[in-house]
Amino acid sequence: MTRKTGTGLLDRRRSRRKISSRNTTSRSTKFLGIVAVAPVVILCFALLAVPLARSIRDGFFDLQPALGRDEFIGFRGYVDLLMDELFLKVVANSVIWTASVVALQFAVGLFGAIVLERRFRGRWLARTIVIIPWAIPGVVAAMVWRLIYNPQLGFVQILTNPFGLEAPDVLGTPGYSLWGVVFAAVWKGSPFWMLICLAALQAVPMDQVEAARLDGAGAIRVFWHVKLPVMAPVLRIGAILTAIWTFNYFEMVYVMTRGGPLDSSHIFPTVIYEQAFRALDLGGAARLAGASIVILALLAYFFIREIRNSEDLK
Amino acid sequence: MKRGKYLVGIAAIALLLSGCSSNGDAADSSETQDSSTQEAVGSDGEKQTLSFWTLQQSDGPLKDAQEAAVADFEAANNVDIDLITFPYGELQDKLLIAAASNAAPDVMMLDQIWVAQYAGAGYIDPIDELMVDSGITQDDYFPGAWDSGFYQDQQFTVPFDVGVWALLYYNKDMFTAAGLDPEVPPATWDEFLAAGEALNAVKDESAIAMFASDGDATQVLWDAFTYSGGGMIVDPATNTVSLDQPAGVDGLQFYVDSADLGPGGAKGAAGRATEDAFALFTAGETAMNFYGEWGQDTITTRAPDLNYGVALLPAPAGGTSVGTFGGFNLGISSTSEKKKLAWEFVQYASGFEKQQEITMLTPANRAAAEVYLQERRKFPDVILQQLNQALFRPLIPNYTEFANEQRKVAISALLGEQSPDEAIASGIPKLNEILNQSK
Repeated sequence: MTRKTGTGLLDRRRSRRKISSRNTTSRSTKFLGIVAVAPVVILCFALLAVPLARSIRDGFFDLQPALGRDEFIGFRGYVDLLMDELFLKVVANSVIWTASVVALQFAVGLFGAIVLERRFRGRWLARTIVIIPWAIPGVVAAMVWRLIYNPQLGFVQILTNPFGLEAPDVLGTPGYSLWGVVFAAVWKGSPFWMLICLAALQAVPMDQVEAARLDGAGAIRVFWHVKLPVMAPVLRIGAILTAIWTFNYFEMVYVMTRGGPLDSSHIFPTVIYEQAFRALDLGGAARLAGASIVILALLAYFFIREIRNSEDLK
Repeated sequence: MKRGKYLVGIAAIALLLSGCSSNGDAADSSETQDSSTQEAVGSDGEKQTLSFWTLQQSDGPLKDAQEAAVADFEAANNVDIDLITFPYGELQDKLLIAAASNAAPDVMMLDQIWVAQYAGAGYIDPIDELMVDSGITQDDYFPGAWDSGFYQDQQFTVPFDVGVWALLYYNKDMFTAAGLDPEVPPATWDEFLAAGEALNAVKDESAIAMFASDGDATQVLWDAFTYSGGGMIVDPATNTVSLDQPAGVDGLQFYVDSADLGPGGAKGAAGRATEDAFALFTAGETAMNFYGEWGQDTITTRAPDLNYGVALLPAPAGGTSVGTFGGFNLGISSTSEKKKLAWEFVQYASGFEKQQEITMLTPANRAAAEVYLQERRKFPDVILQQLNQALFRPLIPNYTEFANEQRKVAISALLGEQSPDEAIASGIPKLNEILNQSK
């Protein structure tokens, strides 16, 4: 038999009061969070849900106002789309474009971050200079790269002329045009990756690095087995975000090639723009947008999964 | 439950990401709606507001002249003009969004090739009834420009200004260096190609830089070569594309042959923009260039000492040089609540007096054009002759799509993927399909 003492009762009361106060705090924090987020969520849905619903509806119509067409066609438009040569080319181009830009930006950014992490004279200046391409507006960067690639007036011919070679017409050749824009996009976007990688590198605990070194690990093994695992969650989220941005990137491709020559550099945003704003084929543009939503939803799925994984790790 | 939350999250993010362009549209349309709804129709004596969207001007004096003309109209009609200007591409986008959202400005500056698109969609009103009692007469305007305002036998727009693709610009000093007479520019295709060979003998690939990477210049130039050979783009009798007829095939062959004389050969033209080609000409890298009369302004700014001449576009032996019309027309929105006032403004802006001062290209009004060309252009007689002979492009609502396919045919031939006649034969079914959609 246990005897309840007055002190024990008091303790329990105090503890209950503490829990109750913690619950109240937790509830009020939750409420505050909801209140803070609600306007943004409502605004986003108000601005996006209606156009998106309209876009989904338009996808089931042959909607070409200039031709006087507004007819429900159900899934026929989507079936036709899947068999359309241009659509297949756009899917392939979008995959090549997104994958190569993300991979190359990551590689260049990581290399730059490793270099810039080291201490050397003028490091602050180097860190400032490398960020410039990222700060330049996309349209301006695209115009500059158009000029660089110009085989008669551009920088490319300065490189080739001394060797008696003819400068390649990068943007005018179907096999090269997309890669020409990829290269320009890598130049423009790599500084962002450099910042991500630099921040991730600086978050690596130095004691772990020192311990690995004391155990005799070289620079590559330290990077591979100590630094990279710590950086990995940040890099994965960065990769998915960059993939989403790159997939949706419009101005650089459009200004540099307009999707040509012969549709060789058309990606989803450029072809949707052409369909909607040039051909006034609103149904066709909506179907293309629908297809791109599916791909973006997949990327969003990976993005959310990564965030959850990172939170679980914490 | 977890999976459900997951899916909601994915849907929300995909929605946010994919809705970017729609978001822009919504914002645009709400913005234009505001500008439209704030204009209340006033009673007699009350000041009204008329909205007018047009092209942005970088030329200071022209901008001033346009603003002064607007101020004059405002004072004379007790009206406020809500004048909004955009660069070409933006004007195209914004107008289309506004028109599709029933929020178009009262008066619109439309590229000739947009007229059928806007008329087909019902974004602009026919003006036949308004024309009956107006002072505007067909004879006052260049025939090709006048006809560009019609769609399905109804008139929708009044021509504002015009430009023709293309004239032949040539560098007289380079002609002299190549042993060519600088005062006798090539008039036929054979003479042109021979001159090109002579120029290339002095400096390789310096004859001419052709272009095919941007805009409509490629197909309008091919159109011009076709017209000059006595052909047409669409046969009105059968309503089929007739580019596969000898004039069309020869026209494309001449395009490729000309491009072959330039930097990078015919392939080099595929990635070259019109302005890049003109830059090579003004830099003295090439001796000839096909461009519109407005190129003279560029030369004055960029290469004021260039010793150049301007001639009609070369034609095949026995043919007549015929260019292809471009330019802008004025139309009235079908949703405008001030159509009478809008019509007053259209008449004012397209009349002889104001045309001399406010047009971006040569005035569409012939009398105004003569004064304009004499005052502001070198070689006015050549330009006037080209304007009187030029023809317009197919007046179909899906012309943009048609032009895109036509350009692909030309690029395919330039890249050597197919010979011109093979490329045309491959492209004709698609071109006819597009044409048939517009019937």
